[in-house]
Formats: sequence, structure tokens, C-alpha cells
Amino acid sequence: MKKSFFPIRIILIGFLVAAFNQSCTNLDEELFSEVTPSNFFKTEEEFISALGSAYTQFGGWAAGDPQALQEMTTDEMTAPTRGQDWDDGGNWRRLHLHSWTKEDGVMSGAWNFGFSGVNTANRLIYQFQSLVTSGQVKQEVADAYIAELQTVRGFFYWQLIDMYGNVPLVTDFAKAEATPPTKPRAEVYAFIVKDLEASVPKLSKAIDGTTYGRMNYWAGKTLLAKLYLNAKVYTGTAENDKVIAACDEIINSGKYTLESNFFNNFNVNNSGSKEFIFAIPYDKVFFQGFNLVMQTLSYLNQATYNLTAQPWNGFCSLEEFYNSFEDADLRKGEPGTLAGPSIKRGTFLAGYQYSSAGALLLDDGVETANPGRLPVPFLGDPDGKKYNFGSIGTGQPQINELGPQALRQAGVRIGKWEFQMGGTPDMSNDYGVFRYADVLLMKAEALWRKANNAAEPAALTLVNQIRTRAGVSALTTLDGKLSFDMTGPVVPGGELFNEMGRELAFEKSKRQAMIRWGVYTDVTKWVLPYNNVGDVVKTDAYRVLFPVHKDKLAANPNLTQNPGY
Amino acid sequence: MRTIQNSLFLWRRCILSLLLVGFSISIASAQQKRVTGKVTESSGVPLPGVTVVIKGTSTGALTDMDGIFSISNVNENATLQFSFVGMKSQEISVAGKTSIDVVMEEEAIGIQEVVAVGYGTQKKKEITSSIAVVKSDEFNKGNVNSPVQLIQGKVSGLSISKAGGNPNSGFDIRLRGLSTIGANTGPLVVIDGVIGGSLDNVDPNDVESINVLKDGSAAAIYGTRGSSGVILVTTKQGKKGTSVIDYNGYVSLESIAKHTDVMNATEWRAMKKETGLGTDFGGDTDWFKETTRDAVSQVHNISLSGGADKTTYRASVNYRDIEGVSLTTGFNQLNGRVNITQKALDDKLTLDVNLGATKKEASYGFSDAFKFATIFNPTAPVMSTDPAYAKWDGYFNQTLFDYYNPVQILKMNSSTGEDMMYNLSIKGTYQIMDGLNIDAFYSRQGSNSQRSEYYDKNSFWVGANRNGYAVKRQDGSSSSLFESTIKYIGTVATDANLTVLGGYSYQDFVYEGFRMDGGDFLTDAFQSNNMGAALDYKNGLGTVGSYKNSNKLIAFFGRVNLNVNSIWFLTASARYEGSTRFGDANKWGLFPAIGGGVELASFLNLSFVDNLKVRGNYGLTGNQPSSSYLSLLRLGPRGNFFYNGKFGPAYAPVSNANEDLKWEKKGEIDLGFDFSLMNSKISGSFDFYTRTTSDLVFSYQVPVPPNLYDQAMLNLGEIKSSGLELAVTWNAVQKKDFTYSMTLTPSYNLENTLVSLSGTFNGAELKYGVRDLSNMGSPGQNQAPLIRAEEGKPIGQILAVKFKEIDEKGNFTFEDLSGPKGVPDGTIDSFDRTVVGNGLPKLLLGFGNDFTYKNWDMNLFFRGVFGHDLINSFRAFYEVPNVMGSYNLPKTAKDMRNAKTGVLLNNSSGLYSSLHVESGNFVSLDNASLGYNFKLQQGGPFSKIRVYAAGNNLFYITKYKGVDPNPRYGDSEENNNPLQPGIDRRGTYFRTRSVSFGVNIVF
Repeated sequence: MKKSFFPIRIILIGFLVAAFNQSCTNLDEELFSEVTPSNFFKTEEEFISALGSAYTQFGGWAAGDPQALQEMTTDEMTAPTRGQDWDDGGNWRRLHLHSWTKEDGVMSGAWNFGFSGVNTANRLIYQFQSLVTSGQVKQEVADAYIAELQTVRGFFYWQLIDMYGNVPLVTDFAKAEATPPTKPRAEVYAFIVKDLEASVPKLSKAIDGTTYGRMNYWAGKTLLAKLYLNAKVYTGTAENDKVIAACDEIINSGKYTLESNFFNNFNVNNSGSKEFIFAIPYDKVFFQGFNLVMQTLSYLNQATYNLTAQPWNGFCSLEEFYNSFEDADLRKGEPGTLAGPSIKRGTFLAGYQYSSAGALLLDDGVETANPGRLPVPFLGDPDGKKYNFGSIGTGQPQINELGPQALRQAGVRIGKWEFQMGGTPDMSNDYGVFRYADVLLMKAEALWRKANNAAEPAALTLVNQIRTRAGVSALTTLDGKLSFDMTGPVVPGGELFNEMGRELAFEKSKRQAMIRWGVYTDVTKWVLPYNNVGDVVKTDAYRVLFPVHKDKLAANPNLTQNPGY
Repeated sequence: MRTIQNSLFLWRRCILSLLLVGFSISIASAQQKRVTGKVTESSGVPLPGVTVVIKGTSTGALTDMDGIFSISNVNENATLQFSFVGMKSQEISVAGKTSIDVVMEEEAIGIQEVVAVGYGTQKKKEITSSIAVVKSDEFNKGNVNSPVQLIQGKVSGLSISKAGGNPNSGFDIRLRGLSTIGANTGPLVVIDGVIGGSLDNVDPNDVESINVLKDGSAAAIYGTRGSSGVILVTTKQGKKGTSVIDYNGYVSLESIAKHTDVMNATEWRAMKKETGLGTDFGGDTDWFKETTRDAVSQVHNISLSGGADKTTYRASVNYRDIEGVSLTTGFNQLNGRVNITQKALDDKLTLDVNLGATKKEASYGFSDAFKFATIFNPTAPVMSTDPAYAKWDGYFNQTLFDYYNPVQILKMNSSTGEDMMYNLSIKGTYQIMDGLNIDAFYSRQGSNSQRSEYYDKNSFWVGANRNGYAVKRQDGSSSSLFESTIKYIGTVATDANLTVLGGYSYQDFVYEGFRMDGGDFLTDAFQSNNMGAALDYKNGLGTVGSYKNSNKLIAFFGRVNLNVNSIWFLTASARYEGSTRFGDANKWGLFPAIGGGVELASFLNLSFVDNLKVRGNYGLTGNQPSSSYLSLLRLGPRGNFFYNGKFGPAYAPVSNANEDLKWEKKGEIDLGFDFSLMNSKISGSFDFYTRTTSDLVFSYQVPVPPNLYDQAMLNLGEIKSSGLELAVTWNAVQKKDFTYSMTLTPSYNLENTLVSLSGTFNGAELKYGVRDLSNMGSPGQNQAPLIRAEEGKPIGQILAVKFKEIDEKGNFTFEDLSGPKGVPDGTIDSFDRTVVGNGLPKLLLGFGNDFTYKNWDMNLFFRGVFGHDLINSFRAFYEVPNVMGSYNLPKTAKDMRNAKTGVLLNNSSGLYSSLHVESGNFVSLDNASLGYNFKLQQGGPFSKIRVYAAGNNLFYITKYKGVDPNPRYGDSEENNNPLQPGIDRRGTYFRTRSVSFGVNIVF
């Protein structure tokens, strides 16, 4: 009886072993809400969506770490420590006072911004090439995409060499070294220029929906012009002729023109601007990240624009920069007065602030005087509860101090981009990265530098084109006092510098201009009126480059820190 | 769908194949005479439920209510074995007898005890590892809402803590310090065999015992998930020969024991005179009073249990209606549990069925209300009739950064949830032959939780100007577990007993859910119940998202126990386990353990030593990452892309893939001894452990370029901890009318070191070095790091600049310790930060006292935690007179002066320093109870009536100035990252104390 069971047992054990060998030990992962490359890249829409990931990298441009490094470190923007707010370990003050360190998180963030762009472009170039190899995509189709990706990569590398100078040069996704070493700035510059000179001619020259928000031929040319314009800084050799040639190609194409109204470039609905050569199509729903509205407006301004979130009362501009605009300048804007809110939009929001219903905004938490405060008595908010950006008309400076006891209302705010009524933290205004006005000014600068003549007529014509639109009188000389140093000497090209500052305010070109004029490290000239006891102001020449963040150095031992840090 | 079918099919195949193997082995038996008898206690009371078995067979019976048993078919030369829990087993030959009366003797406490060890039980004397057992009579009493609270402080080395009295928040559980810095810092929970069981689905009233497998050797049988220890929960079962109805109920009153001491209106006005800051709104509001209440809760539990010859059962229903002290917080919960055991096939087959289900409806309130109640201006009114406030329904508000009326927050907005949980399991055990059992176990558990939030159109807080804002979220999980084991118990030699266990385990998990939020409603009436009514969706502003992911664990395991002469004990086990969550080449890991013990009492021959067992062991356990798919390159939507005039989705990798991802491993050595002296008057155990975790699964900074993102989940580094644990029980007085016993469970952490966090990834050498983590936060202190993680240094170092004094100008001054060149440089900056404390405790102490006097019983349980520091973030932000322009101040702010001149602190904002780092040492009376057992007449309707009063968290003795000195094991604002302990954040729920009155009636 027992024996008869024996074969059955063997069969059963055999079955058991078989079962274990198959599914009882299967540990493959099953995905549900994500895809892997093996089940992607099957349709054209999927290719395009992959290409799209190169452009989402631009999301951090308008209001992210590049903004902090390119603008906060200049005379046009600061974030004072307003009592309890905006101290953040001194991070913002350090940027403005040029005493930043390699520990500051922004140094890591801006690096990531640049290299995410580079790496994404590299990855996609590799993927498109593999698709050609595997026969899924035709060479001609892939080439157009690859050229576009090379131009995108060029943009991010341009920012990297601009901010950090010497960076690793990685150009091939598959063959990238595990810990790529730092390369000299000039070598990376040479690569970018060569790469762009080869790829830009392959880009589309169309200016329509097919290229809006993307790198077309003209955007590529402007990028090259930007590189040439700063070539002296990057490599030691000026490339003024190349700047002029690149700008001329854009100007002579006749495809771009100055908008009649300066603010057409900055309105919520600005995507049709004839001045945009490359724009980031920010959108409150589809393309988020442009949150200037949160950065600059006061908590109270939530009621001005009926915003869905409370702004942070942070970023503002400086008195000298504000004053470098003539009152007649259509770009400046009009302060709100006790008689009523401002009716003319401007680069700045100044003066008394009102709710959307027209009521004067009052600050219940007003800072009152504290004469006992030493060594400098704290004078308190001269306007009392009335909320007034910049305390204009009271004789007080627009920023009483950088910190720690800056008034809550201190500083004129940035109003260049229109704030939408009922808006969300994410703005829908597109951001013109390359603008025709900038091309005109670049060419003017190159002509001026080449001729070395303050009255160079061709340069003056271009600058005055800009000034005419702004409603201010034409210049007769390009020399002048620098806007942040009006008690100082007349500087060659000083007026050109000031005009670039006014036209391109908050558009991330100020630091580059300051470096080209050799004044970037004259930081004391624009911070001394505001800095406080204990603030450290650094004027070291090496600060034209930012340090590589210590975590980046820790992660990659082949990186070399910039000198001085 | 395909998956579910696949997995069900798989189940059937796996179960079937194993069961068939078992049944295919047949057995036979013989027949003879009938024996009857009566079993009594030494006092003569009949003993029901005693197991009477014919030795060498599984044939037997149980005594009935009168202690009577009867067995037929007994061989003339057979021997009967009598056994009963807590009694010495006896063997009596039946030769020449048909009637046998037996008097059972009580067993010396403890040593014959059978202890659940994972996949079965073991005699306590044979155990070679560190296992703590807490039975229901030792549990904490009173207002207990979670099973882990039952053993808080009772197990040496096990820290169970919770800061604040939030009824809806869970406990932080840490065994022997820190064994991982990734996921799963808390022990693995196994409930009635269900691995990874949910404690939320077990009512504390239904728990019979909780065992804690503390060392690596004990936990290794659970392999991959045993690194942080294992908690085995056994629920109550019915007993044979009984029929019991048991009712337990209590009412508890909970009140605030401690909140931050801030200025009242009078004190605030006095301060205003000095600083000239702030606006006096003319009122006098106690914001704590306005936002809290004395909470009244009630708990009822009724259970039916019993058993006949073949069947035992227990069924219970639990109802909890719990209020929190914060307005609108609390939950009510209904839980049911049924446990049935049925024997069949001549008692060779035992089937256990367990069912548990819970429904919980909770209202969470908003912890921000505590923060704002603390900092809101005490002269401000709650409501104002001024028309300016009509837009906020009359609630007073000021437009300042991060400053909102806390009463409005609680009353105008809501955050609620509904959780459903179920668990069912079935286990069949078949005795193939004497000493050889095979079993198959299947369980399925699932949960579904729903969260709803709604922010009123007129509320000035989250969702302000959103015109009403709603969030709806649903998260579901389900898990199936199939296990089969085969177990052999036998003798290898005259004096040597051998137990061998082998098994297979398969468990899968599926998680899925969705979340949506949207605003712009016409009316507040819908709350979050009609999301489609949110105009945001029409305007493209609402968001929706959903997810689904799964993972599997498959294991083969075995264990051998050898007992030689009841003096020498050896245990060896291994688990070979695979997880889907690793790279293809690294899915499987082997987790072995070995341990040995010697009972020295027989060698020592000292009359006062009952037992003295020395033991030592080593075990390797593992840990896996908390999420799936990390080894795969995955693509997902990452923003949008403007293409041909419209936006389309952009797809990009979601993370850096790591195809080499493998198990995190922890090796642990435990050396210890168990002792029992003077007839168990003093008993206890002592342990020394040292554990090293390597290949830590950790999100790490990797080089960019070439990697796309600067973080990847890697295996790197090593942490090490070691410590001492003692557990002693002293039955000091054991008189007829009065007994007193005390229990002391100290544990001391010798080290918790971050040995290394460096390694290689894709050929890149990664060095961790020193990292500064966490930050104080807004307003204004976003870049003030709080914790330093440093290779070769203890985990949990608290970082700060060193406070020197408030100088004569009223400014904080700090010590200039260093600079960029390594020497003091005259400025205070990041170089001057230094380690000023540690967030992890060194010494944990439990001290229990049990008294009985006649029918009274009393229990006092103290808990102490020492050696940890806490960053008091409330003080760091608000103990600054100048912030009173915006915020109320702690009372201590008025003492912030220069010591000589009395000049008030003049800094305009909070400035974190060592001044705000305080010792968290404390002793608390965690649990106290006083009970009375009514003397009942035999044969009456009741067999037990007990009334009691109990108190929880009655007092804390501590110098800590914050709300709650309990350790914070992770940073609550950074995903509870365990590298960042010791930060007392501002959202902490107030500390509470409660008193309960209860009754227990047994029919």
C-alpha cells in the first residue's frame, strides 16, 4: 500500500521543483505607471516628447539659481534681510556682497542647471544616433534634431563657462568618463563655438509656431554672438568682428524688429513679440517655474493682484539703479502716490501700494522706531502703516540697510513682467532669453570696442534706436559715469553700459556686462550705502568666477576648484 | 489584471504542490482499552483544558470543565502525557489502570515557557538569542490606542516614542539604536505569522503577547527585513473547554500637560513698553484655550471565546471614540477580529483561520494651529466685527509672512480621512507522523485610505484666494503571503534533541492610489466631495495624479536546533531571499545565523542559582530600499514642451538608474546571559551587542556630469552600533495578601557611528566626508544647517555656532573658533559651527512597580530617556524681543539681556546657536493604574469584575524648555531622515496627559 504511493510522491516533488524553477522564483519587476526605453520610442510623438526633455531644462532660467548668480551679485537686484525674513544664513546678503562660499547651495544648483541641460542633450543625441543605427529613424530626420540638441547644449555650456569658467567637458553620453576632469575655460569655449558653427547652419530659419520656444537658426546665431561678445573674458581674445557679423545676419534678415511698446515683450500675452529670438514659453499650467511674482511682491500685494498665494516679499532693486532711469523713460514706470495707485507700468514697482479695490495697503506689523538700537539707532518705518516701496518722498533711502533690519517695505520691486490679476505663483509671461534689442546693443558694443571711439556713429545709431523707443533723448557720446557710481569718474562706454542696464534689466546680462567693463568686483561702490556692521564685502578679483560647490568636489575628485576658493 | 490572475494562479500551484506532498505520506494506527480520570491543581480545583496525549502518538483528549478526561483505544503498555501551560508536564504509565487521577504542579516561572521565535515556538531554555517577551498581564494600561504602546518602556533596548499627544500620529520605534539610515528604521512587525502586518489593524485589547527578536541571530530567519529587529504580535485565541464573554471598557479624559510658555496680554504689553514694537489690538486672548479642549474618549471591547474538543474560537469587537486635545482632532474606529482553530483527520490536521478588519474615521486638524496659537498676538481678538474682516468671515487676521489666526485654521478648514484595513489568513498544519509536521499558510492583507482636505473660500491660510480649495487622495495597498514549512522534532541520541525546520515563502505587494487637488468653487457646500465642481479643472489649474507599483520577496529558509542534555544548545538558521527591487545580478541574498548557549546552573551547583544560561550568537540580516524599480532606467513625464504652437508632454528619465543595487547587510554579534535566582525571586537577562551595517542603501550625491541627476540610490558605507541591555525582575514581596515586584530595563548605547558613507559608483570614487544637513527654515533661517554627518563620527551630531553672550549693545555674540584658513579670523561664519550635542539618546530606562494588596492591584511605570539633545526651534525663532513686531514671544524672551547692563537682546531676527540646543533628559510617569477585583461567588453569572483607574503620561521631570523632551529620531521636515535626529520642530502637537476609568467584566 505504502509502496504504491512512492512514484506519486516523486512526481509531486518533481512538479514542485518545476514550479519553483519557473514562477515561484521569478523576480522580474513589473512597471505600471512608468515606462522603460524598451517600451518607449515607438511613435513619432514619443520621439518628440523625448526631445522636449531638452527644453524643460530651461525651466530654471527665469527665477532659479542662474537668476541668483547673474543678477543678485550685481547692482540691479538684492534681497535684504527684513528682520525675521530673508536671512537664510546670510545666503542672499553674501551673494550681493560678493562673500559667497563654496558651501552655498546656489553654487550647486546653478551647476546642476547647466549640466542637466548638457547631459540631457548628450543623452538625446546618443539616443537619436542609436535610433538611426537601429534603423528606426532616418539619418536626415535625426540630423535636424541632433543639430538642435547641439545648440541647446551650447547654451548650457555657455552658462557654465560664464559662471564657473573651468568645467568638465562631456560631449558623448555613452563614452562619458565616470569622473570627468575640469577643463580650462578656453578649451570648453573652443569646443562650444566649433560645435555651434557646425550645427547652427543646419537649424530651421523659420520663425513661426514650429520654432517658437526652440533653438532655430537665429537663436543659434544670437548664442554665438553672445559667446563672441564675451570671448575676451573667456579666452583673452576679442572677437568683435564675429559679433558684428552674427548680429548683422540677424538684423539684415529683416525678420525681427523692435516692438513699438517696450512692454509688449513682458506682458502676460507676449508670445507674439517680434523681438523674441529665443523665448521660454512659461505658462502657469504647462510650463511652470517663473515665479518672480512670489519673489518680489510683498505679502500685502496678494490683495493688489488677488493672487492665489501669498508672495514672499523678497527681491528688490537698488536706489541708484532705479535713479539711473530718467523719469521720462517709458521703461521706468510710475510710483503709486497717496492720491492713488500708479497707472503706468514699469520696470519697477514703487511708491504706495493699493488693493485691487483701490484701498491703500496698510501693514499692521509695521516696524516702529527703536532708538535704543546700537550702534545705529533704528529709525523705524517712516510711513507707519502705509505701505510704500522705497519710501519715496520721505527722504529715506529706498533700502534702509541690507540687513538684518531692512524695512519690510524697503526697496523698489521688479515690475517689468506684467502680473496677472488672480494669478498663481507661476507666471504665464514668456521669457525672452534672446531679444532683438539685445542684438542691437551687442552690435553697438562691438562697434564701439572695435573703433574705440565714444562717438562711433554706427554704435550711437543703434543705441539711440533703443532710446527713442524708451522716450528719452538721443545720446551723443557713449562715455559716461556708471549708474552705480555717479560720484565717480567718466568711464569709457559708461553710457552704453547704463543703457544696456536699463534696457536689459533683470534679463541676466548685467553680470556679464560688469565683467566686460571690468567693474564687477568694485562691489563696495554699490553696496557701501547699505551694508551693515559685521557684513563682509569681498572685492577679490577671482570672484568673477563662482566656486565649485563642495559637494560636487566631493562627488568627483577630478574636479579642480577655481583659484581663490 | 493580468498580474492578479498570474499571481493567483501561482498561488494555487505553489500551495497545491506543497499540500499534496504532505498528504501523500500516509499513516496508520492500532486500538486497545479506554482510560479516564480527573486532573486537578495542587489546591484541588479541577483543571479544564489539560492536554492528555498517548506518548508517541497524536491521539489524546482535553479535560472538560470538571477536569475529567477520557481516551479510548489506549495500548496496555502506553504512557499518557499530561501538559498544561504554566504546569509541569507529567508522564504516567497506564499499565493495569483504567482510571488515572493527576495533580498538576505549577512550573517554576519562565524557564519552561514556550516562546514564539518566528516560524514556530521554542522552549525558553533552549533559546540562544536575545528575545524579549511581554505578556498581556505586563502590558501598559489605561488610554492605549496602539499595540506598541502596550510595551512602551518594557523591553530593554526598544525605544517607543512619540512627541506630543496627537491621537492620529504613530510611534517611532527603534531597536538598539540605528541599524540603517535608509528605509525601515523601525522593526519588522509579524502578526500571527503575517510578515509585515499592520499594527493599525490590531486592537490593543486583542493582543495576547508581544515578543521582540532583538539580535541578528533571532531576526535572521526573517532575512531581508530583519535588520531593525522583529516584533512578533500574537493575538488572543480561544481556549478549549471554556466559554467566556469578556467586556472591557474605559472612559478617558485627556488634557494639555505642556505647551510653549508664551506671554499673555499683560506680559506682552509690558514687553511692548520696553521694545516699542508690536501693535496692541486691545484684546486679551489665550490662543491655547481657544484652540484646544479637554478631550473625552471612550473605548469598548467585547469578546467571545471558547472551545470544544475540536474547535476553539475567539471573536471580538472593538470600538474607539477618541478625541484629541486640539479642536477637531480625533478618530473613531471599529475593529473586529475572529480567530478559529479547528482540528480534523484524527487531530492530525489543524486549521487556523484569522480574520481582522478595521474601519477608522479620523479628523486630523492642522498642526500649524499649534504653531500659530503659540506666536499669535495675545492682544488680538479671535473675531472682529470690523467690516474689514468680513472677507474672512469675521476672523481677525494680519497680513504678515506665515501668520494666520489658528482658530480660523481649525474651524474653517477640514482635514479628514477614512481608513479600511483587512487581514485574513488561513493555516493548515498536518502531522505526517510523530514529530513531523508540514504546514501551509496563506494570508492576504489590504488597506485603503482616503484623505480629504477642504479650505474654505473665506479662510485666510492655505488656499487663500483660491476661492475654496480641495484635496482628495486615496492610497491602497495589498499584499499576499504564501508560506509553507516542514518541521521535524526528534532525538538524534539519547540526550540530544533535534528540531529541523525548512520552508518557502512568497510575498507580493501592490500599491496604488491617486491624488487630486483643485480650487475655485461656487460654494463651500461640497467640501472635497465634488471635485468636478472645482473650476480649476476647466482652467487647467487643478492637478491629478495616480500611481501603481509592486514588488515581491521570495525566500527559502531553514533552521536547526540542537539540545544536548538540556545543557548545551545550538541554533543555526539561514534564509536565502530574493527581492524584485535589486539589479538583475544582485536579487538574491543569503542571511545565515548561528548561536549557542550553555546552562551553567548544573555545573555551578549553587543552591540560589536556578538557571544561568550563557549564550552567544551571530546573525546576518538585510534591508531593501523603500521603493521599487531603482535599478531600472525609467522614463516618465517631466514637464511640457512647446511644439508646433502648443504644449505637449516631455518625457525624461525619472532618476539615475543603478543596475548594481544590492542588499544592505547587517552583521550582529550578541553575547548575553539569562538568569534566575532564589526560586525565581530575581530573574532577568543581560546582553551586549555589536552590529555593523554595510552596503547601506542610501540616496547619494553622484558626479554631474556624466550622470543626469546629482542623486542616485547606491550601496555605500557602513554604520556601527553597540550597546548593553539589562532586564531584571525582582519579586520582592510575595506574601498571601501583599506582593510587590519591580522590573528594571536599562539599555545603554555605547556607540552609533557613521563609519563610512564612501564607495564607488560606475567607476567613480565617491567620498562623503563631512556633510551639514537639515536647516532651521523660514522665516529667515533657511541656510542654517543643524546636523553634521561625518565619517568616523557619531550619528546625530548637532551643529551650531557657540553662543557666548548678549553683548552690551544687545547683540548675540558667538565664539570665533575657526576660519577659512583653520584659525579664528574675526568673523562668525560657517567655519565657526561646531558640534554642540547629539540627537540620539544614550540611556533608556524602564522602571516598573507592581503591587497587589488583597483584591487591590497597583502599577507604577516610569520611563526615562537620557543623553539626547534637542534643538528647540521655537526658541531659535521667537526668543527674540524684536520679533514682537510680528509675533508673540516665549516668556523667556524678556530674560534675553546683557548680563551686566540689562540691555535687551537687539537682534532683529532669530539666530540659531548653541543657546537653543538643550538636553532632553527626562523621567516620566508613563503609566500608573489602580485596580480592584471584586470577590465573586462561585457559580454566579460573573467570573471576574475589575474596576480600575489609570493615568498616562502623568508627569515629566525634565529641564527641557520645549513642549516634549522625547527624542526625535528623524527630521519631521525632511522625511524623518534618520541621519538628522534631535530637531524639535515648531509643529509639535502639545504634550498631553490622560486619566481613564475602566471596567473589565468576564461572564
